[in-house]
Amino acid sequence: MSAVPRFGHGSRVPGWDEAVDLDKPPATVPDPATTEVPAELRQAIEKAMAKYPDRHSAAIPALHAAQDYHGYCSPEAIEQVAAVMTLTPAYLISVATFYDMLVTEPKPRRDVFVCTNISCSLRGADELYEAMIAAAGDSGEVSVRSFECLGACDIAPMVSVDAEYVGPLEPEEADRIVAGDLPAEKLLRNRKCADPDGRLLFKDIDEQGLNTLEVYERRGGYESLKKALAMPRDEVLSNINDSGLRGRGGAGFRMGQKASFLPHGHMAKYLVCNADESEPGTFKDRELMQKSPHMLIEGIVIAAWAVEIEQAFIYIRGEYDLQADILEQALAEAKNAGYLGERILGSEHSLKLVLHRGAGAYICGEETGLLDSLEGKRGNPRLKPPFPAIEGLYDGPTLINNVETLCTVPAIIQMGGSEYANLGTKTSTGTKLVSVSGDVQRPGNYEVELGTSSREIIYGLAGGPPDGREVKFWFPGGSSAPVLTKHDLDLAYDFDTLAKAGSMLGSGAIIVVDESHTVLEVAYKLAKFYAHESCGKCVPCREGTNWTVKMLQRIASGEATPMDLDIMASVQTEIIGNCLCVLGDAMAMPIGSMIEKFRGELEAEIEAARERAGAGGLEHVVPVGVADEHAGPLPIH
Amino acid sequence: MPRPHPNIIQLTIDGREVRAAEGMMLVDAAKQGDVEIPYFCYEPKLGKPVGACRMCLVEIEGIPKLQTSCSTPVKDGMVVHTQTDRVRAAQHAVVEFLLVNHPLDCPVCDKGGECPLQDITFGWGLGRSRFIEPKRHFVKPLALSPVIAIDRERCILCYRCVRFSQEIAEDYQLIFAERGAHTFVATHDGHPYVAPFSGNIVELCPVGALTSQPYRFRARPWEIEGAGGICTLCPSQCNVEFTVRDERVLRVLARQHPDVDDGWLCDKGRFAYQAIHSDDRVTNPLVRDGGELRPVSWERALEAAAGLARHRGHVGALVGGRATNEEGFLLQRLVREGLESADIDSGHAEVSPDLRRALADPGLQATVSDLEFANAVVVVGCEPLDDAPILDLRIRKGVRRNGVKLAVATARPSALDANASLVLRQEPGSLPDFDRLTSFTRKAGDEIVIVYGERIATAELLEFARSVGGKLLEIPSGTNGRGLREAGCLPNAASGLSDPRRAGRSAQAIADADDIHALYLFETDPVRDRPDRALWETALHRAGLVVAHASVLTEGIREHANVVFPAESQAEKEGTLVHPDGRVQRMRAAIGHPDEVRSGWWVLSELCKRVGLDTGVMTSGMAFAQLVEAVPFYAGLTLDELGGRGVRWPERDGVGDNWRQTTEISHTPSEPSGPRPSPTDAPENGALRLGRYKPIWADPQVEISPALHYTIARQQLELSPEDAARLGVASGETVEIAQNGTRLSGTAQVRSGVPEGTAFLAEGIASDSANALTEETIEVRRP
Repeated sequence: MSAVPRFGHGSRVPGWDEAVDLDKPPATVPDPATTEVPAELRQAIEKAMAKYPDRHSAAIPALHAAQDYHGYCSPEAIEQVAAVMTLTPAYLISVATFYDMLVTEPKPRRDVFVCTNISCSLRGADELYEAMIAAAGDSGEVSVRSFECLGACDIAPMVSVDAEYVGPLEPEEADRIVAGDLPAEKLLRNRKCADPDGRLLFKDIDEQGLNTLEVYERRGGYESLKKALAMPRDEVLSNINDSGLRGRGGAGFRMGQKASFLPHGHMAKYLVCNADESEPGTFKDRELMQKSPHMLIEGIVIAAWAVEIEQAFIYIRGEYDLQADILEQALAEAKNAGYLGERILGSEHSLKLVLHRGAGAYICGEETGLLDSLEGKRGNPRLKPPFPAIEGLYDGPTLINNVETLCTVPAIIQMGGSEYANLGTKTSTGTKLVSVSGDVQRPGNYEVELGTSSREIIYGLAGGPPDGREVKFWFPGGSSAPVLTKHDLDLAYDFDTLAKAGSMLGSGAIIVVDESHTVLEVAYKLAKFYAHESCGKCVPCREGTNWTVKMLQRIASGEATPMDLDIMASVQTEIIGNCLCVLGDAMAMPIGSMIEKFRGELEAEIEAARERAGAGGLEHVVPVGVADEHAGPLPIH
Repeated sequence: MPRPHPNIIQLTIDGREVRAAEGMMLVDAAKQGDVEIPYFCYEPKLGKPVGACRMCLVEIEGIPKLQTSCSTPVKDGMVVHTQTDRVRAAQHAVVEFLLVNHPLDCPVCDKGGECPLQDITFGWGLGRSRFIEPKRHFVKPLALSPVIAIDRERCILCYRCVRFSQEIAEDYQLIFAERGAHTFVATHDGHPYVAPFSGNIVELCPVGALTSQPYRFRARPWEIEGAGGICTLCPSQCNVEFTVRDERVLRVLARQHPDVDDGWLCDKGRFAYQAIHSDDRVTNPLVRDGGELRPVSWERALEAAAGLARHRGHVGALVGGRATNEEGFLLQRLVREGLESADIDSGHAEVSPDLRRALADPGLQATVSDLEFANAVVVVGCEPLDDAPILDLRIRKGVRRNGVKLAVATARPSALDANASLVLRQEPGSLPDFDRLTSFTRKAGDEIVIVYGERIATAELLEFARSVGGKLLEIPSGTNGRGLREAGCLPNAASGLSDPRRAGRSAQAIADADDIHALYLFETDPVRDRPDRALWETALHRAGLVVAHASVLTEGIREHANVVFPAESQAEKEGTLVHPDGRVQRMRAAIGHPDEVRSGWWVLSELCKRVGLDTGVMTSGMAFAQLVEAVPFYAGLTLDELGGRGVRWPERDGVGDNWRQTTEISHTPSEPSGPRPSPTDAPENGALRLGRYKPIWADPQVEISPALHYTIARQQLELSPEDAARLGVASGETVEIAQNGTRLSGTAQVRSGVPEGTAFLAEGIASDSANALTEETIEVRRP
């Protein structure tokens, strides 16, 4: 009997074995004359549709509304949304099933999401998850689901209880949490920043009420906007160029250069702020949006002015409910104060800014996946070229930047581009928010000047691993970055040094793994995450990530030999560079680096696992039959 | 939008100099240099490439990463390698990945032998797999619709089928659900994928995941032959390929003609081939004997039909749309020359000869591909989805890809409404508001195509076309409506649209006439196909002799015909047809005649002989030669010239002269031609104004094709929500429709697009057809 679970049943694929019901009529666009929609739901959907230039974009908000109303995206709910949006129900089903937060099966009203991604599981999330499952029982009142990184590794292990983040938690607290009794001191909304004296972005970050316009203005907020609006566009752009600011979302592309790719002149151009912070280990944008939303708005207005854009969107991940609410409020304040809307501060600049909530899909952090998702489709990445700067949202030229990048813009305008460039190193200018998580004593966000030694960040700021344990390896830029070992701790933390060392700075998220954890368990978490988040569009990523998971399961269950490491390494090479977007590479690079750097340990684990499983010679590891009951073709009628 | 005229550029692929149109995708350009690049997801018919399968990765000098050649437009001087180690490694990898979860059940797979996945695995794969983990296994095959089976194990998620549903047919019923490796092709909540074009996904599928229920396990690729033909089930006249095994048609595939069908077929065309081998088909000559039709020898049947000679001068003939030009030509000779009668009709509208000629002016004719590149398309008085389905796809394509502006002016809500920039609803039977259409087209640009139904052929339409400089594309009621007209099957036009020696009477007048003693029904049953069923029943009853060609014994034939000749199917006919846009297309026999079926042209030529007219026609080709002789604007046309793709006569060299030679181009007739029902006032006492339409599936061939049985619906009464509320009728309820003592039963269908006060009923269907009703208003009640 193989330990590798068969894929067919009990998995997240309810529809695979189902035929259609030939007695049903085809599901075309529901006729409004024969489909009744509750007035409240209709209103919510119509309000969402009014926010976007294209009604399709309202698909996710509309489905959220339908799910809130009906408890889940039932066929009836889907048909109602379809009738109001004049789409087919199938369109909406295809969208709903793509996103983790939209559920098409009946579920309890209350939701508990337990983060079981790397950073949380290093700190005991798997035990917590089991405790939560046990605590929830089968009362049918609470649905407990394990979720991929929820973007709160500073409070790991954590859970989201009906969108309220709470942590760190012990398994003993499970009953209390499930009952809805959340300890106030553990709520994320009450947590102080790990680095309250940051230099630029984290300046005064913990000041009470900084998220309100009043305090933000008192702290000099929106002064940069006034300054920028008084400048010609080119000057704003050249300031951004001179600053050398590189994108903080992962790719590290120079913002000024990206902005200059957009065609000039007045046309339907868009700015999209990527707030779909989902890279495991990354939680910096969350802190910015929660505590200083006006800084982001100010950055967006300035950037839009620089490239003559009049419509902007913030795509925030659906799990960041608190942050989205805060942003909504800030948007309303900013609009009232004339920082948004028509003729901002009396200038010729107008900007409409819409907040768009996602629904749980890592791939929507990829810029073109994000665009498709914002257009109300499944968040599949697009072919590039054409690049978004030429043909992006609604086929218009689109500038996409990360939250942190845009938040930096006011500071650049305030101090001048070349002054900003004096911070950091020559090619990695400025300061960077670094999310440190995993096996460290003080996980959290730290604002550091680029070029600071990595050891200083991990040990100096975050306190290093607990109990005098040593760093075994670390991800320097989120889980997509190839791992570095304890020998690399003295590398300067900047884009080029890390690239030279064979890894990358990525989103600036350091995940530290100490000696108490095996490489295999981290590799397995990682591969499972990417397999779960692969959109499925292109073959090498869809099949490669899943194959890798199966191979790692085989290793864990004692069904592998050291030779399998060669196959696994070769599969990673075959993924890299052959995919439509970088998600496949994002798994293949770190897995490849683990096999390369920890081959000895992995071989030992293979041997140990085989011994545990009582496997002897090679003949025991060659598998495994297939499920007999479904082997042959069955008649259709 | 003007048609693109790209530059020709030069690039190097594997060391070969290749010339290609700029902007063409590399994978297509490579074919021109005889370099084959493998791919699964790429299909230019489906629109923009998706780049999902990653099979077509190639190395392009100057670009560090491998690029998908399906999405890379060629540029001048590009240097491409498709055979390097890097490319090979990527190809091996992709094939291995694809097969990770593919069941490799080729021996029991219907696609085996004609499967791109098989071919590419052999051609570009490594030949082995390192995947030893268990594969996924699922229940299979499952029904996706009554005609399509889905095998989810085999699916490689290439996006073709879902893109077809979403971007070509735009029915958006077929989608991907879930994501990642869990992704699967699905519909909403277990609803079947039932749509008029669903069968195309079977042809698109590059693996055995989507198979046709009627074709499953019927043949292997090495046992079959492909035979090119033309589908005669509607005026679209799609080019098809019949899959033939042992003289039986087992499947119909598209034969991809960019100027006719764009490579798509509707499900009627794809599956109604089953009628060819149906037990219900007439395959013997029949003669009425003792009140019943009995099989007889050809000799006896011909002799019985020759009795027409006794009714010289009193014979009326109706020609069904499926007749070829040759059959139509011979039939009008039989009637006019042999039987000295002038009463022959193939049309469904009364149009003056001058107007007829003016509308057929070669300079006014639009082509099918014009629909894609015009500035505006105006659809007047027809429903392309029902009347010529493939044109519906073409209009959608123009709107979606080239931003064509669409106006729809119909009585009944159209499937194209959602794509239209302007929707006008006129009352059933009346003309649209041409003024509004004129201002619409003026704004849209210079190139205008007007698609109109046969019944809209009026002076007003011509005036509209001329005033906006638009081109015309008529959708005739019968498949070969245009060809039959040009061959002379009209009461007021002989061959070549010339004036006949003596003008005859139209179909309606034939039915009314009491001096018609014999009727010749060539592949048509007026009780089914014509308005006023009761009138025709009387006329058929009155006639002393009714001779029919038929493949199905529909009611009128079964009850009234004295002689029935078995009609050929579209896979058996030799002959030519004329597409609505003037393309003369050739039909070739794909299979031999089953049982006692004989060619229509032979029967007609034989009958001519027996009534004393020697046509000298001994082959279908000779009939064609005579036709060409008789139609000036076909001058010099030969079967060789037609070839497999047909020839549009309006664009042949010298057509202008030929056209003038026969027909003095008339000026716009000053008098509106033909009677037009004036808009009636709103009916009183809760009655509803009646509109009629012929659904796509209304066809006896469909009724005897087992695969399409699911399409045979009861009569449906489409009515507006307001009327439904007033009458207290809900969707799905059975209602009774009454008029002057005639009662029909149907299912109510409440549609929000239906104008208040009007209701629509289907005609051409087997039971409760609307042609039983003759008045303009109906009463609806709950039984």
